[in-house]
Amino acid sequence: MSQYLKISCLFIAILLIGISCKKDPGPSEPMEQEVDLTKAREDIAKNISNNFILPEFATLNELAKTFNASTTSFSAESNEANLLQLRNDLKALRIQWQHVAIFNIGPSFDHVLAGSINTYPLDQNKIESNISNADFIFGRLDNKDAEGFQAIAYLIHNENALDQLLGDPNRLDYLVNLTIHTTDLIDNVNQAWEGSSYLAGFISADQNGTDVGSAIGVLINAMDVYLQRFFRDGKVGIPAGVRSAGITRPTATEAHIAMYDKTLFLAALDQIERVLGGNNGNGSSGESLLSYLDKLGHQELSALIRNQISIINSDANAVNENFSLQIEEDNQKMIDLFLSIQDLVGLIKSDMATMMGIKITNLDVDGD
Amino acid sequence: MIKKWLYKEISIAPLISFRVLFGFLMSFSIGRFYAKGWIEECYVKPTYFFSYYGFDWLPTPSVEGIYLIYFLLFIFSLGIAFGALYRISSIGFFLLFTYVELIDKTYYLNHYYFVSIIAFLLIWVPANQAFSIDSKLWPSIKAKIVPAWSINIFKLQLAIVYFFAGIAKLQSDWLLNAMPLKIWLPAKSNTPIIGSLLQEEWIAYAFSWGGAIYDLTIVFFLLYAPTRILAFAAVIVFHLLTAALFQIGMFPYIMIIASLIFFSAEWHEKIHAYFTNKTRVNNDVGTSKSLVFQKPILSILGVFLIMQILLPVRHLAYPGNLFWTEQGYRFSWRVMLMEKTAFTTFIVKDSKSEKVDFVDNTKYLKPQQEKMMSTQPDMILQFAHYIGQQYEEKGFEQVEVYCNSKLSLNGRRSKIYIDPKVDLMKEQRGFNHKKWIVEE
Repeated sequence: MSQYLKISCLFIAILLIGISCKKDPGPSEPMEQEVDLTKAREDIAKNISNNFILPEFATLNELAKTFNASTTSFSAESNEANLLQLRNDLKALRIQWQHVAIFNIGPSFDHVLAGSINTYPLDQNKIESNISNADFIFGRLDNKDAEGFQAIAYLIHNENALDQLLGDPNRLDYLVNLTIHTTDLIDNVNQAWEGSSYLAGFISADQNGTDVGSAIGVLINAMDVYLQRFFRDGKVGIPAGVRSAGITRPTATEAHIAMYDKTLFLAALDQIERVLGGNNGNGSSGESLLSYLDKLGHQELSALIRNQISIINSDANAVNENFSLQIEEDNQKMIDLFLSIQDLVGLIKSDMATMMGIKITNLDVDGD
Repeated sequence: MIKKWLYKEISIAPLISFRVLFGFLMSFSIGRFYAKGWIEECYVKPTYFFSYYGFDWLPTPSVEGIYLIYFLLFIFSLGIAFGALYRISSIGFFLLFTYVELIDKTYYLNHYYFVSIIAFLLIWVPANQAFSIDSKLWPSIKAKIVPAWSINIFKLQLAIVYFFAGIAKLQSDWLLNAMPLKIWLPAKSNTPIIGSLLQEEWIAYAFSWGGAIYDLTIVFFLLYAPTRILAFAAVIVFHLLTAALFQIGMFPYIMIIASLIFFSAEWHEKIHAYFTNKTRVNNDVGTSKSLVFQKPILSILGVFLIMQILLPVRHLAYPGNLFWTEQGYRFSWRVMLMEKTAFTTFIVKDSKSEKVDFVDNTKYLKPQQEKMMSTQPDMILQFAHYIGQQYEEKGFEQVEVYCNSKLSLNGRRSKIYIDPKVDLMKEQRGFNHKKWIVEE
């Protein structure tokens, strides 16, 4: 037994040494009392599903139908007034797209919706050659940069648009068929969302945890990808040249031809804020990622996130409505905007994810 | 005393149980890895692998190669379980398993390290002398007795693992802040029965302190016969709880199985008799076959054990907080000890033309790789060098690579991790202290 005694003393000594080192008071306020975290997570899933995904895709579908109808009118009577109506309807549709783009999951992901209707930059040559090709069929994988909103904008937004469309029946055909193709895609996805088992699983008890594949895990990972690839890089970074060694690409903005990049950007930013905060802007609100953070006792972090969003907002407002013009005149403001978004990405994928125990990954490999 | 611990002739029974159970558990584990599609995700899809320092020369496998390796691992693990061509099976399993682990740091797990160690130890012990196909094919090797070291070495190995795992918990975040359990337990509030309990703050403290005490004392209670059964019950409860609460794969089950080595020979013989429907009447104790090469084997194992004790303390050679800098973190039984996430990005500069590019990590790394790289400086440095090389190939000259990283440790607000002014291309990989890690 004396052997054990010696070893026990050694242990106690090590214990004391260990504890005496580094008394960092550590993080966080205490968690809310009487909180039910599992229910909170389920509520987030329900809020996102019922107050965001379903109504936003439904609205997208409505606006797509409206746009389609306008195209039909224009096709029947091609005049200045109808062309203007087309442009307005397209703008409304593209703004609504900003409300759903963040949900690149489930049926949207499976149908490759984002890639099919919002790929940019546009390949103008490809469109022109498609127009002169009588047997052209939409939806091919290699044609994404000659379809979608940007292609439609190309056809209806330049100064000579009316003349071009009046003068070339193939061009008008392309516009009409492209519109039908686009609105069909949106309709399919909307129907898929309405009838999908994906959302049933999303809000169910099966996904009310925090592991890979859980509802908030999926949501935060989707948000991370969207924020980085589409919001930060697509809208701002790539045109500003950050991924091309500083060589700017002003024609690579989201609405280069229609020239309302900032409107689209701010619409997307508003939606990001709404998704994080749980209020869908249409009278419905519920549990959200930020309110969940608060429940965990991290009010400071949720305040930081909200604050970063206002910083991005003001940086964006300092930029021209036409990002392409801004890039050519003073690209530094675009870089500043890029860096502000970076800070938000860090807060979401590192700080927020870590507090919630969410892993930013697609793989459910073992850990330790 | 040492002589007795090494050379006393004792029943082979515990070793047999250990060999059989480990072999089957490994074959299940390999099958599971394949069934989950992880071979594809981890070793086929990536275009870059984080090789270990000193092992960069290891070839990365082809698609066919890696599936063949896993197939062989499956076969070898069964060879261990059945004691068939045991020496080949154990050596084959050890080499192939260790090779796979050395391909990419991304998938480093303490429990894979543990498997490699056990596989290594199994090579040297006479575990196929009974209850095996080998002893049927070659009856001359049959024995019921083995030198004590061939069983004690596993007890010692387990003791090392638990001891260092326990020591690793003696720090302020774990004991005084109940971190990271204060994050992880509420995140499992959906666990059946105990879920709502996990949200309570005191539970995080109870589990933290309980875990530390368990690790530091369990081996003693397993060694001491009167407390053995209770201790084993604790082993089962502890590890099943970790299995339910965390996604740590086969580790809990390997530890439960391994702990059976502490049970007496009589206990194991009873179990064997139960499964083989033979009575334990056979009092022919026999003598152990004199092992060829026993002295050299013991020397190898001696060196091995010294390494096992030095590796977990090598972090003392580096300044700074181990959890922050991770210098000396791997191979030291720091299991499930921290919650660490970071947002790590790189800027590449062509210092000749002053061109600057912001690197898109996702072009080079899979999400799991990016996740692991972003919090581990050796991987950050390695990746920086890789990107630098990629950009050189793209035409950049006099390439400089800078890292912007903000890291969150155990629930703290994220802070700057890597000095963004240091050109990582000029930094060497290796065991030297990484001065470019910003102080916590």
